[in-house]
Amino acid sequence: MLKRLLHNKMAMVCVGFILMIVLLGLLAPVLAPHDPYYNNILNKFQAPSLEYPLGTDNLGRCVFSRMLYGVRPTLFLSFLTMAGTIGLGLLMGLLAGYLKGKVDEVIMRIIDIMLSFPSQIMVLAVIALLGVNIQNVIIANVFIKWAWYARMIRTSVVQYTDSGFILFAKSIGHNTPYILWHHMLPCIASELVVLASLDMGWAILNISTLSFLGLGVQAPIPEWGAMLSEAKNVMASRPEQMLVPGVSLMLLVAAFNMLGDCLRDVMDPKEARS
Amino acid sequence: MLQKGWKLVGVLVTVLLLIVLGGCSSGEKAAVEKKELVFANFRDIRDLNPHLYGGEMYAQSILFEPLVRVSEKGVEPCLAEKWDISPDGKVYTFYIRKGVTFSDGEILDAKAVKANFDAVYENKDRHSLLDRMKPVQSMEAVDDYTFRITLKYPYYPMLIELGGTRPFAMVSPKAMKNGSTKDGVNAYIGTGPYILSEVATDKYAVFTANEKYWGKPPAIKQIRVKVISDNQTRILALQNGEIDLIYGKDMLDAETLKGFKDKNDFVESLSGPISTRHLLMNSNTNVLGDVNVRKAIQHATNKEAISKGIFNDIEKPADALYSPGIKYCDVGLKPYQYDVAQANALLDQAGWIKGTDGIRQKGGQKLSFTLLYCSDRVTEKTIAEYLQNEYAKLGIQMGIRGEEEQSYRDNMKAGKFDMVFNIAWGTPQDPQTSMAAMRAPVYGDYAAQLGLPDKVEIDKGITAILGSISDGERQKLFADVLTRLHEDAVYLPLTYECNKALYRKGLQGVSFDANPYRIPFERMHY
Amino acid sequence: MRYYIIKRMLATVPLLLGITFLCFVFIDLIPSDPAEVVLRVRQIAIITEADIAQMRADLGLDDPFFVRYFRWLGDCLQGNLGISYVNPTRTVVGELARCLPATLQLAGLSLVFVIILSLPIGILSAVYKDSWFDRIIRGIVFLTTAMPVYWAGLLLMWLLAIKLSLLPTSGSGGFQHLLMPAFTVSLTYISTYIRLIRNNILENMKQDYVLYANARGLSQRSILFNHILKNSLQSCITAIGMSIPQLISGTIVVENVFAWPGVGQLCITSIFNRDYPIIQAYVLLVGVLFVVFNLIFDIIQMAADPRLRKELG
Repeated sequence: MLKRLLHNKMAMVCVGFILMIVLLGLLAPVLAPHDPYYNNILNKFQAPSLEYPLGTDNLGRCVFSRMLYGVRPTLFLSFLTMAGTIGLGLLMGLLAGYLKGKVDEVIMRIIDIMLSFPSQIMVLAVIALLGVNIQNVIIANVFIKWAWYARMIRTSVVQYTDSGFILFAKSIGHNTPYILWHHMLPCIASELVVLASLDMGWAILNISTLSFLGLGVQAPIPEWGAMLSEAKNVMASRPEQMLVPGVSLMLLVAAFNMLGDCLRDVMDPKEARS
Repeated sequence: MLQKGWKLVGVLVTVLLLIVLGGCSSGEKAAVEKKELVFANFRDIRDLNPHLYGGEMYAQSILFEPLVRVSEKGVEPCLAEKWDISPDGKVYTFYIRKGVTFSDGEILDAKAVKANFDAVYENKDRHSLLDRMKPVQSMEAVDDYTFRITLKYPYYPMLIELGGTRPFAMVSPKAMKNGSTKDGVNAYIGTGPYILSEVATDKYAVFTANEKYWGKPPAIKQIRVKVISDNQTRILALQNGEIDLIYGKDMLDAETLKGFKDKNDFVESLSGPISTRHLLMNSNTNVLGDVNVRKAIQHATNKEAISKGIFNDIEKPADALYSPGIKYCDVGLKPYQYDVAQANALLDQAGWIKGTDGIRQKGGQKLSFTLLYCSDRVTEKTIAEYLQNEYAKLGIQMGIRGEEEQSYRDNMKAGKFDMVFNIAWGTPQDPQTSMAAMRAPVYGDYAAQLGLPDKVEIDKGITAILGSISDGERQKLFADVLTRLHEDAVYLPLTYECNKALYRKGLQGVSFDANPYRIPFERMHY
Repeated sequence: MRYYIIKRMLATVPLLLGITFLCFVFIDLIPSDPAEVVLRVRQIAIITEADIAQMRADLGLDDPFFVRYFRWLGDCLQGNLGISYVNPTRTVVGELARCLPATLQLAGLSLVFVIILSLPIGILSAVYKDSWFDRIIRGIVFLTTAMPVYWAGLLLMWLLAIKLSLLPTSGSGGFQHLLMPAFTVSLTYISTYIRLIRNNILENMKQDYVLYANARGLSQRSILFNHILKNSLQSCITAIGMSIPQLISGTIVVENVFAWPGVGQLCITSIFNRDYPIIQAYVLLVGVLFVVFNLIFDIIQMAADPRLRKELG
């Protein structure tokens, strides 16, 4: 399967692109020509030049440096959200699907209720409740999205629970946690990866949308969505400020989406044949 | 089944289209005949009762009028043709203009004026924060067109305050609720040049010229005010011709004005300095309670850079809370020069030492606090971000937080801030009414001054000013209080604000009133 | 069939209760004291402890949790959702009623755009699979899904309103004001549905009955319209239908960008102003809408698709 993935050119392009972005983010302190927080108010809105490869923003900060440093909050926060969501969703899904009975009923009801609300609204509501800062954004996202994963995972787990090798493991006396970790997890891992990859795009967009609305990352932290928000504030006089963060966000999210699609194609045996 | 499937789609689409198109009324007709002026405000007009403070000032001031008006030249007659003040400063007699009617036909006479003042007095606890009604001993309609107010003690700002639309403008007695206005009015009926003819909450409001107006009829017969909360969208709307005018202290940033200079169809107009844009530091907190920290911050603020870099020189740097050009305010205060070395020295001497993370600390407490700004004002965020970076260079960690107008005001009043962009009253309320307000939680002043060792003296001084009779005595008292405030370093003046207007060519007569919150629509014409 | 419908409807009751409970708990958790907020909003000059205590008693805030919950629930069922904290003259129901039509208009036109654009493009994309048309469409679809909605909106605004001056930039008032926001909202969904329809048709094309129809010698066109589309459409329509509440709630950001005075804009303003009753009512409204729409479309799907009916036994 991994071989098929490696042969899929599109997937490799996406992985390559994402890895490059990650690398840029990690190497930001080395690559960035200026301090992303340093503002020189008299230098604002400079055109791109050798000194400022992408020009400066409304406070005279180097846009290129901010984009580089901005990879960290944009990707890292999304990743953290994903980890939390998948972690919680995995746990609940596994428990519900494997243990069945009462546990399953209760968890499914909770999932149904959580899924009855559109995620965007709930995230906003939770932030309204907890206050506006980035920890709360992550908590809000995890709080909402885990239900979706839990449901998917539960379905898969139910599918595999009655399969041969699980029954065999049970009969030779392995306990539940062992079975869940060593047998169940690898089965659903592939689906999990596809979901995660597709959802990463959603997480990035969500965090950037919240930052745009003023509810997410606070100034002066450079995050691509927050940078778009700042660009919006000068849209009438300097519309070009919107270009760089917007296009970058779009490409990054597109890369994750494409990767997810390719992974799904790779996992699905029927598609592979056609 | 196929037919059903397609039919379903077809029906769905048609139904939706009908709902959508049917629902879209031609709500607003374009201002074709240039007799309508289209203006934009960032929020709805809300409650326009002039005896309370819950509505937009620009609207209240074209619907309602007070007894007198304040202009650059001083106090001018409005609904009162002339007036007398007794030598002891305790009795004010007003001679009401004859032939004035409210827009519902009620006659404006001394009885109507008394009814208005009674309604305001009934709610005096609401206004007591500003001492407005406290000095009043009695009010009477001496005859049909003479109205007299007697005070318990002299209160020299009385005349100027009576010139304010809030709360002393005249509402038709027929519109009051049983002679009272503290719970609202039945209709917004006043004597002003315009009447409110149509309101769609949060969308638009329409004002039409008052046929019964006693003064010069306004040239613009209809004003439509659209609600556009986003700053950029407002500017784009102006560019696109959907609105004709943007007007206000903080509705236009310098970049936008620069951008519009090249466009021939637009005119930019700036007023002279009207108030001081300043920050307020809360002395009642751990970090900013230390006067050395406050003074260091004063020295660490580069007002020239702000004036040049953020305002493109439109607003000049300010070194004092009240410009020395204002009466009584030229008291020889020594400005806090921009001197980073001095700021650092002050902090070092006071025991705030830089830690390993670059942030100063003293006794386990980090030199860290938050600056609160109003997100509806266009330049405050930029200034806040600029200062954040500047102070960081000194080892001061300042976070910034933006809130919308309402919650920003609430937090400021309740003292829930470390540092905040204070609301400046501006002329003609500076300095007497603004200082009177420092004695109670009206804006942020009271809460911020609570931690000062000489707060009691400051309040006593202000009260004495208000009751003073002679000019000389007043000047001495002002010098005392202003010097105290300056030494306490709670106010950080940034620039002198001016009122700004940007409008489509063709509109004439765009001017600025002494009161920065008034928009003199009645003087505009095409 | 009827039995199924009744069963489904009964199943939603605990769900609705759960939603209301969640909403109520949410409000209960807010950090600020509602009594103090009400007093402050009424512009009472000096608020004393005694005033707050009195207001708490007036609002019944000291009663036990479940008493308050059921009282609130009772109020809701009677249509009384409370008063806005920020503008005490306005009721929550009034605010929602004022703003909802605008959002419904926006969602409605977006839905029309989605249907009109995604159906033909999706079908053509499937039929001409892997052609240059298909690839370009898939490329565009990808990029549009990856675009932050507000950025797409801002770009459209800049392009159509500023550069080309074809449409007004924002606000409400006429049909042209509605076009850009509606199109922006529909963008995300168009991409999803083009993919959905395309995949669905491709799936169906591989089915045995298509092979059989081909063997029988029917024309491609006939196979497409009479057989494939029939099957694909049902699931697509249901999918589109189920996303209507999603559409209604998803207008938040677009309303913010285009200053469209709908419920989403109200929600955002309420969050910034901490007008909790409105936020609570909005969440409740959307939650209930979700459940109701899911129920309706579940039933429609069951009625329309014989395969699912068979499963019921």
